[in-house]
Amino acid sequence: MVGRRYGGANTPAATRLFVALVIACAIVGGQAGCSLIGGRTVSQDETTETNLANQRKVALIFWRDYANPALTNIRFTDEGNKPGFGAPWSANAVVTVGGQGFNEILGAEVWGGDPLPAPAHGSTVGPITVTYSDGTQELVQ
Amino acid sequence: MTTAYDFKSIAGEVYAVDPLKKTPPLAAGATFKAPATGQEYLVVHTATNPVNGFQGMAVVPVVNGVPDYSQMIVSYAGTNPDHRADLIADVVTVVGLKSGPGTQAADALSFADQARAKAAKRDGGVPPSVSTTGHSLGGYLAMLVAAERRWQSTAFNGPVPWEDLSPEAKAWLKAEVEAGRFPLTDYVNEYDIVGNSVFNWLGTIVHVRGTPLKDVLSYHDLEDAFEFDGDGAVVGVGVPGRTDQEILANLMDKDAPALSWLLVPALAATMNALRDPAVGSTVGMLVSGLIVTVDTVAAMSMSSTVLGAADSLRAIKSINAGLEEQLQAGLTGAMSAVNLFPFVTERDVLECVETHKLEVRHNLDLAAVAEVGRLVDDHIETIFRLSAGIGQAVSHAIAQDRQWAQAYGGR
Repeated sequence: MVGRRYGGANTPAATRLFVALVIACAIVGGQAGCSLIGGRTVSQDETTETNLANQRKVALIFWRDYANPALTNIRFTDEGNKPGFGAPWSANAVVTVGGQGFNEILGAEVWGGDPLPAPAHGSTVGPITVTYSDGTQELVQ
Repeated sequence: MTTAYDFKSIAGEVYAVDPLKKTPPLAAGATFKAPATGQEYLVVHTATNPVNGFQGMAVVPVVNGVPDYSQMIVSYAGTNPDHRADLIADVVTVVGLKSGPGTQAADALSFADQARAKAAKRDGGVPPSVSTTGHSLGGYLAMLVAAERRWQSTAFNGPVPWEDLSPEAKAWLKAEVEAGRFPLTDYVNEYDIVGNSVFNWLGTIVHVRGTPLKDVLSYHDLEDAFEFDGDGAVVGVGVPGRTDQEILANLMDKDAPALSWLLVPALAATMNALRDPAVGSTVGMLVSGLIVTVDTVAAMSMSSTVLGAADSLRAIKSINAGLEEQLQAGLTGAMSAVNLFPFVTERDVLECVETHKLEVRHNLDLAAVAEVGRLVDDHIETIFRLSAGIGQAVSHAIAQDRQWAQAYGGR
């Protein structure tokens, strides 16, 4: 095992205070939607523009990773967010496979939700329509 | 074998069980794949507690299309800053070192027991081997549950829960470590203020190399704080870790090196305020204490911003103060340059300057500059009064909190 060490620069009493400070900073972030550390605001909430860009990014990842020609549509049902302090961004979407809708949560690395039909071995992607949360559509092929 | 990357993926997915953040949320019966190994997982149990902000998820691997109930991973969500309850839970559970009924720690233990029983029921009564994971507050819960139940845990940027463990759990953990086994592994980015905020009991923390001068949140962010190699192992483990001063200096130097002199005292003032027994002991015990802490940090941040404006005003004054000198230097330079021409005498130059009224006194309204200086002084004084007022408001709030604490007998 690497990197193990005992002790450190901190002492238990001081570190409890430090935790309080850290969490208090997080709380300020929570109340204002941002935190004030390092002299500027660091937003936890992304802009609509960024969320829409993220939707496109995760839609393409899902389309390539799932690689099922029966997939015809991805419709985002919310704008997407980071559901926790330091959590990965994800968005709810209904994906249509073989005419049936499945509720999925699409992230940049992991997507999950309703169990999806397994694509046939060696199957490739087909064209799909992506409907973003602002109602715009894009044909991906 | 479950890799660190798999654990990180599971630790990230548990955030999706929050019905206030995901519609619909991830629920029992859902599946997802870990990107590193392509391992599919089936969600077998989830729980949320809107009162204290708790969220848990238990998964089992799907092997050849069939859920393997002999092994289970229990994951806990970290803080959701949008939930006031969750923030209070952070303070009560992590800072207040509380694990009694109604806390997230109690819910985490209960959830793990339920999930284990559920898996056992589906596997002919044979309980699964269980490991836990989580990020941030979720990592804290994961390590606490693992130690109490004698399981393995892989956490990310979580405060080590040593002081909340039962004597039995502490004894077990100590014996395990002395035997060369490390049942708890907490990967902490060397610059993360949350994971590094608590003492590294029994070498639980494995520090991970971070890139200096990035945003504070990126060191805590599950996606940004860690990199993995092709085998799913964390890259850059084994660095010695940083002192509090090094971590804070890195954060300050990122965006506002010029304001470090201002921000460091502000943070130090906040820490000093928390060292006051009247504040420190109420944190985690009274909501009023929490609010005071919030307001203290907010006020200090506001005070820093306000004082930053004074800095800009000082810069204006400094430039104005040098105007006369700068103009004179420009004129002198021009006069010297013209003298380089052999057909121009010094007298010619002086006559030209006089004729065209090029002297500084003709081109600089010193009275106006002085007036600007006076106004700037006025503004700086106002700023300091405002800053002092914020400080006084904080002091009053702390004093008020002390009275409330005594009135309610909370300490």
